[in-house]
Amino acid sequence: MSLHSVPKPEHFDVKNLSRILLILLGIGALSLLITLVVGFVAPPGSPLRRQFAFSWLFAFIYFFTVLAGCYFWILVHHSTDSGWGILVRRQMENLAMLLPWMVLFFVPLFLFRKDIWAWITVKNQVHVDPALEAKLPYFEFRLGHVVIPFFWLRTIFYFLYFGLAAFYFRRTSLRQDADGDPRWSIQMRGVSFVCLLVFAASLTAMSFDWIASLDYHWASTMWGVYIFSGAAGAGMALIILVVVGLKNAGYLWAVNEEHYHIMGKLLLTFSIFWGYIGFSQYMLIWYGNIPEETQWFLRRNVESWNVLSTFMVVGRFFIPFLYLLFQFTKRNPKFLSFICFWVLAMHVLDTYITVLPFIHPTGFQINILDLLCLFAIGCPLAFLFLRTIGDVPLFPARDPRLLESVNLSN
Amino acid sequence: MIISEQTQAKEETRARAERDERPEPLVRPGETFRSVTDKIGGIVLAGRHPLGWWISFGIAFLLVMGLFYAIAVLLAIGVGIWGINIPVAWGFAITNFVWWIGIGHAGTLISAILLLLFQKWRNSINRLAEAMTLFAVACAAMFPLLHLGRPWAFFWLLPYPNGMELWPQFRSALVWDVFAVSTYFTVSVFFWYTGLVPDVATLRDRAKNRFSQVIFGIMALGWRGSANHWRNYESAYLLLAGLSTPLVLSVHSVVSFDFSTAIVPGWHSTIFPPYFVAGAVYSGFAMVLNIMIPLRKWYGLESVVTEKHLDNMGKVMLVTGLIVAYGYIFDMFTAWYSGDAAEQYSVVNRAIGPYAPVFWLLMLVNVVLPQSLWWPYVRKNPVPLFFAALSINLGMWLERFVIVVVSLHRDFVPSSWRMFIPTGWDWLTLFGSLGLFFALIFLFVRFLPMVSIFEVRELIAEEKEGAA
Repeated sequence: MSLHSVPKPEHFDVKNLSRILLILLGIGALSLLITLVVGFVAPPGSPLRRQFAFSWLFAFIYFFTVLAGCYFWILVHHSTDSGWGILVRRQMENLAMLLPWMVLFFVPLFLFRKDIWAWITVKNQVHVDPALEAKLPYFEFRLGHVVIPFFWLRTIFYFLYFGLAAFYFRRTSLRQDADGDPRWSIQMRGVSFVCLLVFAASLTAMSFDWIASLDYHWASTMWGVYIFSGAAGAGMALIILVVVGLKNAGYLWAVNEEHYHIMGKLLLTFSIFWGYIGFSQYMLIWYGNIPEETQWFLRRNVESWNVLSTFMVVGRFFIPFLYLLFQFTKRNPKFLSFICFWVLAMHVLDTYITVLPFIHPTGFQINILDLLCLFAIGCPLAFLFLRTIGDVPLFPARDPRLLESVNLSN
Repeated sequence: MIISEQTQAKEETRARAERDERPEPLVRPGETFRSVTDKIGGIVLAGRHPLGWWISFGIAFLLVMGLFYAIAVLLAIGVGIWGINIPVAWGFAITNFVWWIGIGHAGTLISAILLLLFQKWRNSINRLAEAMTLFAVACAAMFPLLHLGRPWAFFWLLPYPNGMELWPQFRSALVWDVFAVSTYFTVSVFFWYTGLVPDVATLRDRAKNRFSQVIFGIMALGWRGSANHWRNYESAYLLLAGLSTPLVLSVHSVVSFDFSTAIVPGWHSTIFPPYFVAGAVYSGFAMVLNIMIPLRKWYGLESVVTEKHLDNMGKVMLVTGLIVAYGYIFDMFTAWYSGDAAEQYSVVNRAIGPYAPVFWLLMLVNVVLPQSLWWPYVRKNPVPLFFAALSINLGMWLERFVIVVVSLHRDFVPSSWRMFIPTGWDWLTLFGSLGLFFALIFLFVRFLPMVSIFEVRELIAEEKEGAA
């Protein structure tokens, strides 16, 4: 069956959601309150303060990477000129529009910076670690008498870039909703090429700045790609869940199993890609056996961390890989959403293993703050998403290639 | 007045936008089932070849003779005839090996990955790209064997039960290479031959002389074109595509392990696997274009290998080229960031050491010049595209030279530093391998259909359907 008429724009009715919104707001506000109070009340230098700082960093990195992954799919969509996903593209845009809000959640990281990034305190010591001294210009350097805080300038740049680009893509797409001019598609395609280049550079530098610099001795050329591979897969999982959710709520009638199938294939691809990148990085560092490099993994392979690391290999790669190999798991929204939840949960684990070993070198200790920080950032984001989803049509109804997406077949 | 001008301007942009949106045909209008079969099958059956074919084949053949001579001298005297030394024990041989293996990636990528991605434009270039893959892998496999020192003992690389209980060193990336490359070659042969069967049957049916009929008849494996045959063919082809896809990624990843598992400064970089794969696809597409552009002109295949194909291949090169550039940039950044003096020196040495001209030429031909592919003019016009591809092929060879030789010639201990200066035998082996590759390509064009007849006919059928 192929459709020849363009489906009418749909609008999400927020009214039915008031209870959910209230619950999200409640949990979010409560978690925010508890975590921030704990953070500020804990005496400087205490384990509790560090626990708060790292739990917050963990939750922040988790949501930032997932949303950056959603944003990445907009770029891929435009730059490859693909027609299959016009129906779901607006949801990628809506999710990416949460990126500007992340700047608010970065504020606690800035306030607790001395508890998080070791280089900030080490650089002021009398005997600066020579390993840090060599790379200090990457974090801050002097021009004459002025100290240029390169690290913070970059952080500002990331928020400006992700925020403005996400804003641009949704605004332009909305303009097309208004006038149906194909010029906007072409313009967005052009912009997406440039944005992809900036995205690659930003995400790599970001992964060094915010994560790898927690241990400034360590470096791996693959690190940026590793963070990207996890982010893109988790981003796709979230997009699928949003689409399935809207479909279950009775919207997006034109989305069908063909769209799920394609998105499932992309999820499969990025699960494999994550496995490939993760394996290559781990194997090469293990094989090279250079102390500066192996310490990163040694930290994660000792004590109870080893259980989590091993489980992550199975959970983030083998399970989604084997599960998504079948066609019916990709085409059936129920089966597909299950694995999307799973992938998002495994991304939590991945981020946890990346961030928390710095404060619990003797084995993992799950703290209630870890969970509360996830709620403190996640619930407000979910609230904002649901609160604003009704403001714009659910799919770009006047995109010139909408029919291509409606009549998709694999 | 102003309003009407505005409306006019808007109408113009819209018209331009729509023109841009209209898909370009993959087969030029005017081609029919019959004309395609005549055109492609005729190249093999008529056996009349343009002057370009004869001249190019002649040159390639002379180079093959040069290669045989160089190999004979190598076997008689030993690897001492090359410029290799300690510490540069891997000179041209490994550079050429990695370069050729990289070129061998385009075929399987075009055939398998583009098939899985429903990219119809692969249909008219996959055959040649697959043949190219086989010949490139054959050229590649020759180099490590010649570099063994005692090539006649090559079978020691394979694990076989023997009385002395001697096994290869399984922990060495070089042994992984043996498995990766031989698997890749085997699967590529199957893939290529499976795709050939329906076309060989066409040639069998159209051949006029008895000899061709018998030979093509044997090769066609009893293909009758029945619905059953087609059904089996389609599922076999899809399965082979699924099998080949991981191989495209794994082979060059394993090749990259040859370097990255070692701790030589400039080699030990965790990004090497994906970066090598991107580089391989980059040079593979460049080689397909370098072969396809002249052939399409000589044999008048412009109607089946259209501007759209050139454009798409140009885009693939642009993307993979940018990934390679990402690799260069973050490799240099991490070398500095790591704070490791030896790593830092390896980058400085590349840029200002004795091989600096090679490095800067590499940056020019592999990073700067390929940026011309951003312009549709370059991607859609055969002549500039040909030169862009040539630049990339040179660039990828230089990249491997920089990785292999420049990293090795100055390692940790300055007292052991030594220059590598290629000898005449090094050059003769390199150009001889190019001759072997092109001679095989020209023979392939002579004896088998270089464009898949039935897949192009599929495209014509689909375009007719689309028009109706």
